[in-house]
Amino acid sequence: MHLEHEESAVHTHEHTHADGTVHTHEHTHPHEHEHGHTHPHEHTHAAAGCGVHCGEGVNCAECGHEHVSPRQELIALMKYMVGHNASHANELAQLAKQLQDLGETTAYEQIMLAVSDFEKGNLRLSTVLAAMNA
Amino acid sequence: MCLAMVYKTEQKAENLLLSNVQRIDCKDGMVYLTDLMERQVVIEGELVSVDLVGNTAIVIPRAV
Repeated sequence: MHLEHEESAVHTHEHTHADGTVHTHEHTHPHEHEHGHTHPHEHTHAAAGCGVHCGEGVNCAECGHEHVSPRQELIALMKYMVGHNASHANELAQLAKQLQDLGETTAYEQIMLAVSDFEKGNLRLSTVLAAMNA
Repeated sequence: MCLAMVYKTEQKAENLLLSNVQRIDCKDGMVYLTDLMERQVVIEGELVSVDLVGNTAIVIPRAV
């Protein structure tokens, strides 16, 4: 809610003296106190991933969130996924090796083929990422 | 480890606190969520569950 005020406000005050006389005075004083910027903004950070609504309990200028473009965010996510996929490929290769040690040669070979396919897909993703960063 | 979606109280879309969370720290009754872009959301409350397969976590805010 955003309250609008005049910069100066005219008031009348009634007060009673000790002798019982009642006066009403009119005076003007400047409107000095500040009002917080409390109305909610209609946009959210949800698209950027944080899910925090601007203005709801935080001042936009002070919320501490760096505003990045959706493109920057998606590139960062893509970069993470490429690295993450490489980790998973390594994990699968280790799993395959353990199967080989157990004598599961066919399973080992099939999983290593899958790892190879996985790595090819990830290579394609990293090529896209490199092109986007160029 | 995969990135996580962190929810308040229960896993519902409207309860999403932060997505793509790469780090969760708990200290002095506060839960610090940090996403991939290093943005941070801090909640006074408790981390009650982390689903490492579903990549979700639940935080219960402290009742005021």
